Amino acid sequence: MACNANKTHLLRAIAKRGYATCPRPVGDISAVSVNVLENKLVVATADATVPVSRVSIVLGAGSRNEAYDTLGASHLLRLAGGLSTQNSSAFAIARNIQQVGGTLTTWGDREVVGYTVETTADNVETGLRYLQDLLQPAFKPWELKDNAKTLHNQLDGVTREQRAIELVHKAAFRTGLGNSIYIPRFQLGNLSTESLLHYVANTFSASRAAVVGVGIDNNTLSGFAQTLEFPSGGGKTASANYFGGDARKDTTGQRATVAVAGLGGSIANPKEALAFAVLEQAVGAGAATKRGNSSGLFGEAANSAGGSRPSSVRALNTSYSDAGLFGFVVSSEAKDIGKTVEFLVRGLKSGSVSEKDVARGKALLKARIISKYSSDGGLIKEIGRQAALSRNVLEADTLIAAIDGITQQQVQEAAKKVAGSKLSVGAIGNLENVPYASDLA
Amino acid sequence: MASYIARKGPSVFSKLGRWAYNMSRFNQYGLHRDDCLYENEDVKEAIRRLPRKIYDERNYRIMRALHLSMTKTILPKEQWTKYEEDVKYLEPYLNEVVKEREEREDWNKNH
Repeated sequence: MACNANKTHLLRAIAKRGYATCPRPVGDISAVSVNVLENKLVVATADATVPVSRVSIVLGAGSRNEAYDTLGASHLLRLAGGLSTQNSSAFAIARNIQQVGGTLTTWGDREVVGYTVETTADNVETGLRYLQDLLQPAFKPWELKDNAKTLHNQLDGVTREQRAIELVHKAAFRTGLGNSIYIPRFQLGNLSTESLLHYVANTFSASRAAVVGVGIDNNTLSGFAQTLEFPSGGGKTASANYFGGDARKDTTGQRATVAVAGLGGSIANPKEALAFAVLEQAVGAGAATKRGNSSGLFGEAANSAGGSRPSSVRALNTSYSDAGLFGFVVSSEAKDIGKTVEFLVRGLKSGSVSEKDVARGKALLKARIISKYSSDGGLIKEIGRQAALSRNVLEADTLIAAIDGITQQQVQEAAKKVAGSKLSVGAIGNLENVPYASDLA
Repeated sequence: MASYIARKGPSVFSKLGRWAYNMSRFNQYGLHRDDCLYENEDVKEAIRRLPRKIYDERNYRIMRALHLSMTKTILPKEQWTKYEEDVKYLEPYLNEVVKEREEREDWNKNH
């Protein structure tokens, strides 16, 4: 590489400046500065509460970009965070980052895959040195093979609830957003190095990526981001189509986990997405107290269905760049699940939210958002996702003000939208009594 | 995977090299140079990393050679491996394995 010398010089400057960043007081919400580079790469930074720097590269390589024959590629990208890259070996990455007490983690969802490196502020140079290499993964065939067990373990660790959510996505969107964020079992060992590199070349483009940092100065990070070499990245994300229907997986046991959803709000329409987020909290996004009941419409509906109490019911709300899902996930005894789902769908279809519910929803949502923004670990993910998807980052204050601006009417409209939408059912477990989507219409 | 394309023939052609190659006799069994490497830890790891097809071809050549040796025969001359056609298929993998080992050793020395 021709510009290696240039890089080291720059990184040295970063380390020096790293000492100078002043941590913000604990509990304070940091201002976020956003900078868009010439190649459309978004660089966003915020101050940290402790002298620990977190830097993420967020790439638009989530599972929605997978074709049928590359299903699971994004899961392997998450796995590849610990594998060799074209410039450095897995050994070097692991040891060098460990040596300075840092960590390198990967995360991802249907839209993005993110690599986060976390080091003390004075060692950020080492972290960035190996973070930039992750843009050129090597996917050595023997390393993929050696890590097949890890993939198996990860798949075994996926909860029933999560699998129901994957299934409901599949029913709702079929392809694209319908792709699971976990590699399907039939693809284990079938993804070749070449097809993975092709996937990377298509999806790792600067115009869909973001470099975000917490506890690092924006100028410094922009300088680092400018030296990043993105593969050309010609691929385009196909827009999502909502279909609705069923995706069921029968397994042994006496329990069933069911996710039912209709069309929700997309990030492209922030007002609607926020209204759905308020609605999620209003109808019951999970218990507020430990082992408590979920309050709101869904909690009540599940209770009035009778039978043994469902072990969990919570609202499901996901917003993607051009579509969204809204509904619920419930898990219960197989003999009771039919009635529970029926009652919950009746609640979902009623399309009504009281003023009291909206007020509670707003309060809960605000609390969740502030708690996300106030921890460094939460903040980096939040701004990473926002920067990659909407190419801009909203500060906590703006977001809170926007939530305050959501009226009951808007939440009502959101509820009506999902009530009028065709439903999707994703179910796993003992499905004897689980209704089909056509029965719920 | 452009970096794993194997070198064919010797790096420097010479008459002496050809004479030495033919004197070694392994080519009369249809073997290539990389089939005859002593299997130390590095070579074992490099062999493990070979793509399936190359790995199978290697095993076939070795089994054929064992069979020929057992029956005290050699291949007909037109099937001998030629000096110019000896494929160093293991070399790129072996170099990488050695480099990785040296990296580990360096690290252990310095930390």
